[in-house]
Amino acid sequence: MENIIAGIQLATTPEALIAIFIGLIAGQILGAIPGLTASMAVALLVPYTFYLDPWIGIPMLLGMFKGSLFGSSITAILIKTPGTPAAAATVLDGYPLAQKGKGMKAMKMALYSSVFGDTFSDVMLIFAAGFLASIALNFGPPEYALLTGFSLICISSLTGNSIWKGLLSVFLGMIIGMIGLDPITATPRLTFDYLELEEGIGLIPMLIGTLAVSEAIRQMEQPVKKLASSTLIFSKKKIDNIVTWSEFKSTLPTILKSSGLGTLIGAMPGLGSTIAAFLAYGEAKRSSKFPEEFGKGSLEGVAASESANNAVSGSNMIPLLAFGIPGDIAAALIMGAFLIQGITLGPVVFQDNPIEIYAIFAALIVANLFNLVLGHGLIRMCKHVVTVPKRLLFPAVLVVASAGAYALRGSIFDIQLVFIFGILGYLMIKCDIPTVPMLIGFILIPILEENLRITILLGSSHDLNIGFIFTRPAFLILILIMVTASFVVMNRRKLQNLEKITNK
Amino acid sequence: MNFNKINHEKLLIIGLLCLTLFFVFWVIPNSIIDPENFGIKDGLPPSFTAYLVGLLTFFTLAFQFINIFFFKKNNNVRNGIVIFSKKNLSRSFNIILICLLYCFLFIEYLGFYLGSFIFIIVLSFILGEKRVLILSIFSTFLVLFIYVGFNIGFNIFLPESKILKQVLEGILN
Repeated sequence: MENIIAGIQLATTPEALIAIFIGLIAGQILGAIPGLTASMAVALLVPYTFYLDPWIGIPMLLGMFKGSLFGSSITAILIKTPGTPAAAATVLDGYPLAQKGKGMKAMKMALYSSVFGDTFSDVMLIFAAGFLASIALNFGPPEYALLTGFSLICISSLTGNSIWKGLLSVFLGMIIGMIGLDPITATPRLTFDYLELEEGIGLIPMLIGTLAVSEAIRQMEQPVKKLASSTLIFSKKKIDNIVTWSEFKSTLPTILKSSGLGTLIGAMPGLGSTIAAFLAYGEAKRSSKFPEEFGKGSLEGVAASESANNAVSGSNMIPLLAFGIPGDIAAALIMGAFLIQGITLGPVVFQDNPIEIYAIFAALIVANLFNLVLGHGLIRMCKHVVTVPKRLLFPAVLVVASAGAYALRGSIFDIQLVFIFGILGYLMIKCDIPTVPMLIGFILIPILEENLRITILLGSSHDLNIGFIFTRPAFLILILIMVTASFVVMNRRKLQNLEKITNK
Repeated sequence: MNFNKINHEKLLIIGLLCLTLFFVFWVIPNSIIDPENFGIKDGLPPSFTAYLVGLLTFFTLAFQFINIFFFKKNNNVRNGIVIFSKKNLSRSFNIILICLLYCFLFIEYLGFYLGSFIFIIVLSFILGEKRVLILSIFSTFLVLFIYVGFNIGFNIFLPESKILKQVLEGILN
């Protein structure tokens, strides 16, 4: 209890509250600028948190992430440019509403459902992470190796259009993660005697390059006309600019159901907010009294996709806090920020840094409240924000990305890495190879390798050799859970594909 | 140079297979030297994971190669993106070239601030911003903003210009 109070106090100091406030404003504005995705905006900010007090930098980052998620739905609604792939489901009904002049109404519904979904999943995170972490404390190297391997398989097979490309991306990330000194023997690996490579590839330059620079290059190749601004029309009738209580009440069951679905999906590594948004949208359409309105400007459609994709953001921190495994790129970015501050997330963090963990929980809830208030302000000024010309924006993004990468280690090599990964990420996008599995593979390979090697070492001194892992109850229970989860997910995917075919 | 999507997929697989073989047979043996007498009782050798990942990559690609070339299974190809169209090929090439010049030459020799100033002007110009006044005001403002934020705010000194330094030293001497 003392830890909880201390955590709340840490997250509600004036400095932390101001940091959340600034992070939210910056995130909402950056997220609302067409072309700047939520993860891109946060990736740009991560290095700067190093120079701030941890309890200013981390709340700011959390605020920024939540703000940018909502901001990205604004571009989806107003100009049919989803800031994140997850917001693509919001386009389906948000854009038709905006075309009817009801952009304000759609954005307000997106704000309410986003904040609801976010809060719902944060509450679930608070209850689930501690419980799962206490179980994870009983895990040994074999269980960790299994869990990490399973996460990698999940992420590679569920991200992108084809499994082989997801796997390829994970393997590429694993190879890049091996560059540097071997963690056990300190033998240089894949460095070719290049001194700067011996330290290994930095996570932050890689994140900035793959998320921000690659996306900027992809957007810059668009025709010159597309890089200019756009026009918007808003209705002057009051009813078209607000969400009435009866409208909100009628969508509440959809919001609740979608938030639950999003939370469940977010807790599983690799599934991510895009799948959650589309699944919730499909489910809302299936169970709606007016399914024919979906795709033509249904408020229920906006509410379903927004609450589900935001619900993922809290629950995808469950595997991160409980097992130290980032289930999603958002979690990977937050993990990067914590690593910069010297905090390694995982089950032990509840014992080593309990106050910090409760402070994160408190900061998440505070950020949701601020998001609701600030979101209204952003909606009013969005007409100006969404018209920033991309031809000036993207060169600025690249320069800010370079400065951020240099700031961490003071090395020009890191700036070069940012652009190398940017170009690599761009080529991967062009070849339809997802980049997220590469980042997760890069982050998880040290954990997987270390635990795998220790497991084999343990096996060599055991009578059953490597077969000893099957004598461990935790290992067997994990296998059982994984097989069941895989079966459920595959079944769901099959159903989705069948639905797609029948809809065609 | 418009690639058919399926042909592009085939080319991609063949290219990646060659790269994987190069990685397994040349890169790993030449860049990871296992300690002598390193046996299973010492744990796994440093090169083990690299070989494992290399082989897994090879099998994944080989499986897809067989699927596409022999069983003609290419269901997902239709969803894929065409790699480059004639229109955006030269544009992408120019953007990438400027980015590489910026990170390998401009920052190294002109320094961060001067290099970034030139980079923003050149890149924005290529992207269609032809108004010289806007270009110069925007790039000056951004560079100043970064200078204030980094040098004054965070006390981080971004790379200085080698050339300007030499010129100044030459003048002073």
